[in-house]
Amino acid sequence: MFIEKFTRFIDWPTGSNVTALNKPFIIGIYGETDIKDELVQIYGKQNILDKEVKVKNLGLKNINDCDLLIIAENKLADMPKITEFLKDSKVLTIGETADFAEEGAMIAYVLKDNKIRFIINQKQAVDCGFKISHLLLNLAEVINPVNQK
Amino acid sequence: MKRFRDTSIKTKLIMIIIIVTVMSSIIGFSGVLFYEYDNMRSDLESETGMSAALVGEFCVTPLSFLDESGAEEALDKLEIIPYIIAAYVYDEDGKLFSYYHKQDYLDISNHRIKIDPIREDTSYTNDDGFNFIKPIHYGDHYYGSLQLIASNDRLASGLINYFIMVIIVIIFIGLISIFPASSLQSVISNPVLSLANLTQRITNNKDYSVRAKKYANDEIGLLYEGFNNMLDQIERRDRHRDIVEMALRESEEFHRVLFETMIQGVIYFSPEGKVINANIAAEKLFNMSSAELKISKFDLSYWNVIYEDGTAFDNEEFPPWIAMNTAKKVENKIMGIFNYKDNDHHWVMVSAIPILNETGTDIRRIYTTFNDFTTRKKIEEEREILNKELIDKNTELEQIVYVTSHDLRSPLVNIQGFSNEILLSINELKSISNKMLLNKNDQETLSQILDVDIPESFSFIETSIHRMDALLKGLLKLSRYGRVNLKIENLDMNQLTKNVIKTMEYKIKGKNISIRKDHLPKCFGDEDQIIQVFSNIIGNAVKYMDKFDDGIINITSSSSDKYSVYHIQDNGIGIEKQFHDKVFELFHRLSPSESQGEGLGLTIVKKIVDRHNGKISLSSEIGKGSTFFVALPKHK
Repeated sequence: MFIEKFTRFIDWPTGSNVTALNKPFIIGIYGETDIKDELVQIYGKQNILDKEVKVKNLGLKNINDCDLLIIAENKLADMPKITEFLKDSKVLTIGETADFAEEGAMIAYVLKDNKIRFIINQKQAVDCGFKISHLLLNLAEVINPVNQK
Repeated sequence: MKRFRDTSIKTKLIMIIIIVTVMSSIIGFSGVLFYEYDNMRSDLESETGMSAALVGEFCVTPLSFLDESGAEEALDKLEIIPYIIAAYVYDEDGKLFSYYHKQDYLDISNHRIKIDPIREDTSYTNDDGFNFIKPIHYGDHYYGSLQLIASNDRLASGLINYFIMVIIVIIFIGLISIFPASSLQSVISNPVLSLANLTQRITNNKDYSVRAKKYANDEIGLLYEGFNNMLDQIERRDRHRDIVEMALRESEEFHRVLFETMIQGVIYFSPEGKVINANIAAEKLFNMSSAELKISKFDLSYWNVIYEDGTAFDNEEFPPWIAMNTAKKVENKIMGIFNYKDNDHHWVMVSAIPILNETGTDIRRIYTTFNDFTTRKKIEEEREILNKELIDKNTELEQIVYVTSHDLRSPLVNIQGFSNEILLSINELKSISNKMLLNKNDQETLSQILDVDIPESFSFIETSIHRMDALLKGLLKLSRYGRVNLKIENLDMNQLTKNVIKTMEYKIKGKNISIRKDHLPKCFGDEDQIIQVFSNIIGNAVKYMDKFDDGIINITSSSSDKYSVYHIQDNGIGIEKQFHDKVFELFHRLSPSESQGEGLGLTIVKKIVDRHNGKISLSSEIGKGSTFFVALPKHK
């Protein structure tokens, strides 16, 4: 399961839940997706960034109540709203198709022949205070690249 | 190697110096080479390690997201590092994930499809080259490992270049060192060579008086000193040897002449019983030349060798054979050896002395002497016969003396008896004549005959009879002392002389003679006869003492190995020197008118002393006195 792997190469902005102690790592899911059961099953046993993992279905109202948000394929149209909502919150956004990146998701991924290919909207991530490892950038297709400090 | 040993010391030293120089250079450069190789290797290791660290990082995400192409892309970056010839990326389970080969180099091989997961830096060298495996970590996560293979060619070519340079340098050093070596070797070789020249000179000229001149005080200096000392010693020894040789020659000559001319026969036997050498006396004795003796078996029966009793000599008893078996000296065995030339036995005393070798374990030779005493033996035999005759004659004489003195006494007794008868008859005749009336003249004539002439004649007759009787008694005594068996015992001479003096106390007191007597040692003899000796000598001293009140008789003693010697000294009239030997003769009296005695006293003394195997002598001077020395045996 690659969700956890992204977290290894990404530093959450300071003051986020992830940098705080004794708080679970919350994966939020917006929309219907096949991977929810899989996420629950895997991260019921496995921690992310040394934290207990909780998987939640979120609506637009409480969409910032998580550390990482997976946006289902069918919710591509909601992306501008979501981006707007999460402008000041410290949530990493991951879209399920390639188009998400253009729409403002920080990471968009495509699974093909059980291999992952992903696109990073660097500007979006950096603007939100995230720092993405060059190793991840090196492997990804980067749009809106910026100089990270 | 032999050739090296025979080359001159100069060449040897130069070669040794060059070899040592080159060898120490080789050892030094080997160390440097080793160090250099080690450096090159650790450079390679660290460079490879760094490359692995860099490339490894780029493989984190491809491994993480299983993107082989991403890994390949990362590995392709190794293209710019020339010595990395291959790289393999393994996932966290050790399975081959991606790889890279430099062109013309290794191809993927089966064993690299999967390895044991490696979590620490690992390196090894195999046929492929230097392998470096670095685990790939990111954060706390382990993603797998990266294996890089660096070509050996880099190390090898570095080494070869270095090696070639070193060889060139060493050859150069070797060539350069020839110059100092050839000038420095002379420090050692010159003194040695000059010593060698000197020894050569000494060998050629036999001149030991030359000396080596010392160069320095090192070991070669010591060698020079030692050499000079040795020359000193050789010179000394030479001189000494000359002296010894001279002495030896003289000694040899002395012994040879002695050996050849000595009367004694000498034969040297080998331990096997062979004759080694024989002198002329031995040749004559055995009537064989030395050469014949040497090859003879030396069988005694050939010479008909006999014992003194005439029986055949036992071959085993031959002294050299005894000496051979016992390794001990054998002395003076008597044997008779038949000499075919003289046609008679030669009597010899044979002695044999075994001469041992230096270790004293084995007999080297047996020195045998043959002392010919045939002549002496003959003389002895003759003397023995004469002695026997003498003894027979003596016995006969004594017998005559005895018989004569004994038989003469009875006619003497008759003469005495009948002259007494005649005297009685004359007395009777006298008384008758008194009664007869004769004229005055006849009366006077008869009276003259009967009272004067006849008694006077009778008195002469009687005196003569007494004298003759005394003489016969003396002769009987003498013959008895010569005849009776001696009862030899250990005599206390103090007691014996005391008793003797006591028997003549009356006469001694009469002349007022003082007698002084020392403590006297004991001797062996027949008591009665020795008493006779001392009473005769002391009696003479008393008898011929002419001084009254001043007479002294001293009895002292001395001692030798065999004898106790008693000195009887008086200060009487003394004896003239011409009579000193005669006093012991039969019937000799020095002053017949002045003293009584039959003249047998000292004859008896001498006879007794002789029978006791003793000795008697005297020293005397007229008017001063005499000393008699009586020596009697100390032992039986």
